[in-house]
Amino acid sequence: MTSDTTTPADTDTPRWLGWPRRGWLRLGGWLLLLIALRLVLAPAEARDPATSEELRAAVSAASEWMQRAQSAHEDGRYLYLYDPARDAAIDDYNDVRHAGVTMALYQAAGRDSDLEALAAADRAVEWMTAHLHRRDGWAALTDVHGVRAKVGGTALMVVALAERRLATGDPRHDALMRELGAFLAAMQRPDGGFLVAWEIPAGEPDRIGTSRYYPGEALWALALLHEAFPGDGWDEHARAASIFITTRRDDVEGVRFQPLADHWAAYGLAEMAEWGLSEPEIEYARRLAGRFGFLIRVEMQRAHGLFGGPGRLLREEVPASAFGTWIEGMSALWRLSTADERMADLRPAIEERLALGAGLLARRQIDAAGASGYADPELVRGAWLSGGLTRMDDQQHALSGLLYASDAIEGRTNRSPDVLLPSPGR
Amino acid sequence: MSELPLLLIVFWAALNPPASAASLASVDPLPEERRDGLLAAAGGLAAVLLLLAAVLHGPLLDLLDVSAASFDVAAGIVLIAGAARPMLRGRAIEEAIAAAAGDGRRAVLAPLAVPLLATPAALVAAVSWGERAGEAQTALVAVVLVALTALWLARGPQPRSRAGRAALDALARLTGALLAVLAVGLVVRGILAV
Repeated sequence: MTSDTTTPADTDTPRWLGWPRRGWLRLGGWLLLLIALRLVLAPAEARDPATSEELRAAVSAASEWMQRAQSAHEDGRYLYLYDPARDAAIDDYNDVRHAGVTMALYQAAGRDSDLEALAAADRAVEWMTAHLHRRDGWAALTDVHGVRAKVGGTALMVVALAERRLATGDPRHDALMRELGAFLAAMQRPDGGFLVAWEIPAGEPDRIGTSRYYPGEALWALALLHEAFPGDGWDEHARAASIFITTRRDDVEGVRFQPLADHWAAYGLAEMAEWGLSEPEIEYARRLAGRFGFLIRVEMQRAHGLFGGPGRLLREEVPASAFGTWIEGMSALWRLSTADERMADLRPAIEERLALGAGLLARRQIDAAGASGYADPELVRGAWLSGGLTRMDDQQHALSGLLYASDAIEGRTNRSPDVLLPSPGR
Repeated sequence: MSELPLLLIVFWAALNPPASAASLASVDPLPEERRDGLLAAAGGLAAVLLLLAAVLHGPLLDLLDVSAASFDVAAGIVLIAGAARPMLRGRAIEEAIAAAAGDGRRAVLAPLAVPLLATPAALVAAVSWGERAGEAQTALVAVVLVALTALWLARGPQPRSRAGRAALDALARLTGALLAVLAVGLVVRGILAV
C-alpha cells in the first residue's frame, strides 16, 4: 500500500499549513462572501411572534391616543403632527388622513365596545360633515381650505361611515354615504381609474393630477357601499376599479417596483371575495402578498440584523404609517386567503409573516414608561415615533394593522364587531 | 407535481460533474491504485455533508434567524458565485487547488470532497430546496448525483483528445450557465415570496 505521506503532486505550488495557498485564499473569499451576505441580504430577523392579546392591547392604547389627541382641538380634528421632545404641535392638517384616523377609531370602538372612542369618532365625523361640498347630487369631503375635494378623502370618509354602520347598525348616515358614493362614481374614468379631485372654485375636476393610492381607497369604499346597499349597483363601479388596479394602475402610475404595496386594494379585494374574483385579480393578490411579505421581512431584518442590521446604517426604522400599511395589507390578504381557495396555499406564510411583523410593530409602540420622560406623556403614550415625531396616521395604520393581524392569529375571519354598540341619539 | 425533475436539474448544475472532471483532467491524474479509494471516501464525505444540509435546513435557518425566502436570496448569490468559474473557465476549481488532489489521504476532505464534489453551490441548494421540496427528496437527489459524479471521476483519466476536452469544457460552461439561470430564479423567488 502506498504511503499517505506522499510528496505533494505539485511541489511548486506555494502552501500554507500544508494546503495550497490558493486554496486558503479561495476559502477566505467564500467566507467573505458569506459574511457580506449575512450583513447585507440575510441578517437575522425578528422572530418573536405576537399574541393576539398583545396586539389588542396595542390597538386599545392607540385608540386612546387618538381620543386624547382629539382633545387638542374643539372642532373634532386630531393632533396632526407632534414633536414630543419640544412638546410642539406642527401646524398642518390633512383631510384624507383625518378620514383615515376616524375610520380606525370606529374599528377600535366596535371591537373594544368603547363608547368613548365612538363618541370621539362621531365628533370627527362632524368636522367632515362641516367640510362637504355638494353638487349635482353628490357630496365630497373638501380640504381644510374648502377649495379641493379629493377622491381619497371622500373614499375614506365612506369607509369611516361604513365602519360606524358595522359597529352600531345605525343607518343615520346612509343618505350621506350614498351621496359620497355618487361623487366617487362621478369621478370614475371609463378605464375604471379615478380623476384625482374636484376643483371647487373652477367647478370642474382636476384632469391632470393622479394618485397611486386613491383608486384603492375608492375601490374599498365602493365595495363597502355594495355591502351596505346591495341593490344600488356600487359593485359595478367597484369591479371596474378592481380591474383597473389589478391590471393597469401600476403601469399608468409608472410604478417601477410592481406591484405597488397598496393595502387599500387588498382591503377591497378581501371585501369582494364573496362576489367572486377573476384570475387576474387573484394573480395580483398573490403578487401583492409577496410584496408585503418582502417589505415586512426587510423591516424584520433591519431591527434585529447582525450589528443592528445594515439598513440601520442607512436610515431610521420606517414610520408606523408605512409599516402599519404592510400589516394591514397582509391581514386583508389573509382574510382573502380564507375565502378563496386560490389563495389558500399562501395562508401559512401570511400568518407567519403577520405574527412576526405585527409583534415587531406592536413592540415599537411607546408605553407609559417610555412616555414618562416627555413633557406631555399623554400625547406620547400609545403612539409610534419616527424621526422623533408622531403623525396621526402612524397610529391609524398601526391600529388597523394590529387589529386585523390579531384576527389572523385568532383565526377570526369576520371583520365586523360581534356586538353592536348603542349609537348615541339613535 | 413532483419536484424531482427540477431537483435533478438543480443538483446537476450545482455539482457540475463536467467542470469537476475538467478540473482533474487539467492536472496530473490521481494514482490509479488509490483513485477509487480516495474518490469513494471523498464521495461519502460529500454525500454526508449534502445530506446534513438538506435534512437540517430547518434548524439551520432557525440558528441563523432567517426566513426561507431571505435565505433563498442569499443562496442565489452563492449559486451565481459558484457558476462563475465553470462558466468562464470551464473548470470547477483552479489548477493549483486541483493539483492538491494528489496529496493522498489529506486530499479527501479538500479539494476532493469540498469543493470538488460538495460544491458551495450544492450545499446552499440543499438547504434551499430541502426547505421547499422536502428533505428526503432533496437529500436523495443530492446523494445520488454526488455518487454519479464520484463514479465519473473514478473512471480514470479524463478525455485526452482535443475534441473530448473541448466537449467537456463546453458542457462544463453550459452547466455553469444553467446554474446561473437557476440562481437568478432563486433570487427572484426569494424576493417575491411571502
